[in-house]
Amino acid sequence: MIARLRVLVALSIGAVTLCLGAAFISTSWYTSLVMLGIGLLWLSVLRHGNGRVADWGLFFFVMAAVWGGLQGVGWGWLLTGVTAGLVGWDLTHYLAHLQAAAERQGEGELVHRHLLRVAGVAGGGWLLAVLTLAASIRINYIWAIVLAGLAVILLTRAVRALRSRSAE
Amino acid sequence: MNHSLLLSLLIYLPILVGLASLNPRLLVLAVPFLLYVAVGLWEKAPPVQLNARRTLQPNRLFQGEPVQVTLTFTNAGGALADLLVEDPIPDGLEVVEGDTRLLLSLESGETAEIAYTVVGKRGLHTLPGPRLTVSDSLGVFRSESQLKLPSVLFILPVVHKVPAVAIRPRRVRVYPGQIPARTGGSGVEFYGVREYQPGDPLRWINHRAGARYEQTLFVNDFEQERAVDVGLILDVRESTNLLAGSGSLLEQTIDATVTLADAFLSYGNRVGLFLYGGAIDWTFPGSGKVQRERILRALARAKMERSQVFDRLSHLPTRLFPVRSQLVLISPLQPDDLDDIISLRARGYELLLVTPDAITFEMKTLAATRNTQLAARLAQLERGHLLRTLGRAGVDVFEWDVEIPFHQVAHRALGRTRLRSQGQ
Repeated sequence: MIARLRVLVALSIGAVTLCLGAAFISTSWYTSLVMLGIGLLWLSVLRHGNGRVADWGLFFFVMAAVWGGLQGVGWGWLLTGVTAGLVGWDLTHYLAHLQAAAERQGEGELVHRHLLRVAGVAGGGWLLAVLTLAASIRINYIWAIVLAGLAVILLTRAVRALRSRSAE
Repeated sequence: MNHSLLLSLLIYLPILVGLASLNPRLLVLAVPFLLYVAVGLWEKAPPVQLNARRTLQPNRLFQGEPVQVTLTFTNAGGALADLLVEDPIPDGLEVVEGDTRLLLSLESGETAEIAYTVVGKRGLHTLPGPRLTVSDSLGVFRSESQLKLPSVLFILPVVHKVPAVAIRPRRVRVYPGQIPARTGGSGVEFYGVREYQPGDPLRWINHRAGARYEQTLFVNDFEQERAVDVGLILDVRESTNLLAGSGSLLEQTIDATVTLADAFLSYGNRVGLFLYGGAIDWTFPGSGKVQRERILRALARAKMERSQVFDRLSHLPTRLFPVRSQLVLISPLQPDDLDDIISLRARGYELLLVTPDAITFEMKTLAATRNTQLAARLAQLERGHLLRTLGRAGVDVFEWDVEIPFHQVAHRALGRTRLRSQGQ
């Protein structure tokens, strides 16, 4: 099961690297090379088991996606890359979590359930993002600012609540 | 990086940049992360309510023997999608079979167990409660806790059998034993001749002595053998017990103390144990198997200690030991100890000094240069002088090279009648 999970991690990292590399190749090929470098560095986690590399890898990929969005790079590549990055990051940590225990009871079921959740979140997130872009709501700038402020406040509260729960 | 912090960053970054640049395509980059966090929150793990029980089989054992640890736990709360149970092992124990960590999904009311085998060093080991890490099925939010389930494991030093140790204290007890009592009576060894008393066995009559006197019969008298009081003093001072590599002299002296205590107790003597060096650690004198267990437990707990009060032997509480009884001091010795040991003799105690060869022990870890060899030679001369002085003061000195286990050396040497300053 661990070996299968390793393959999935490698595939996810490969996917995010390819998507973001492909997104940037038309505008600046050296940014594609940087994407390739980050992807390769992240892949080294599989051998050395360092979760921090995965954290920084995902962070830099999302930063790159935001930069690409500002540059007008194809958003489909960016969204798919970011979603694949999320899957790769999650699976990297889950792999380390599994390997932390030499004994795993019902390992197949545990991994299967986790993969189903991740696949659901990734697919659902990608679809929701596409639908969000497809939907068109006309509001004026003031309402946009109010809604954005509301979103920030609600998000802050949600994250604070989550952090306090995880600290319990 | 903290998961919550990273996810917050990855959600806020596209939203804020998208808002600032009025670019809706950037906003949607945050959607997968938002959904990820939402699912994690939705499937948040319930509070952990585990009923756990740990069994140690056996919970009293000798050094080097394996002990089977079984941790059984039942989920008395809600279903836990991802539970990592870890039974932490204290220093001094080593897992030889099985594993102390188990990752599982535990439904409500379900039971699971962790089983593993450990071996350990001498000592009193306390296993703390198991550490639990629960998370949702995505692992977004993890919480850690520790159950209160301490278990105590006694690993006793190994006992080696040696024959009787030759001691002859002036003070003996009224109970029969194996120590010559300097008093005539029933016994084995010839003690003298006395006039026949009605009731004396006829086979005791000494006809040769009787032939010299008319009308008078003489009988052989034998030396009585009695049990005695023995006070074992183990030196646990940090300043005397050298550490060399992974071993220490204390382990050697504990091995010697166990062997001696067992030898004295097996002949019916009353034995007490004093650990000298830290706080007052006194095992009240007693005899029999219960006392043997008490002494073994005290020695299992023994460790090097540092105390300004007990830095020298002058503060040995001699009132704990009956006057003129036998004391056995097990110590690597310091040059400063000479006067204090002689003062013990002056107070009337019979003293047996059992001392490991500290210089040879230390030399094993040092490079064999000309300087170290010269230093070792000087130290040997000083130590030899110290031991000879003690021998002249009436102290029985028994020194052994720690390369050879104590019981092997003691087997041939400690049964001799007098040991005055003899090395092995």
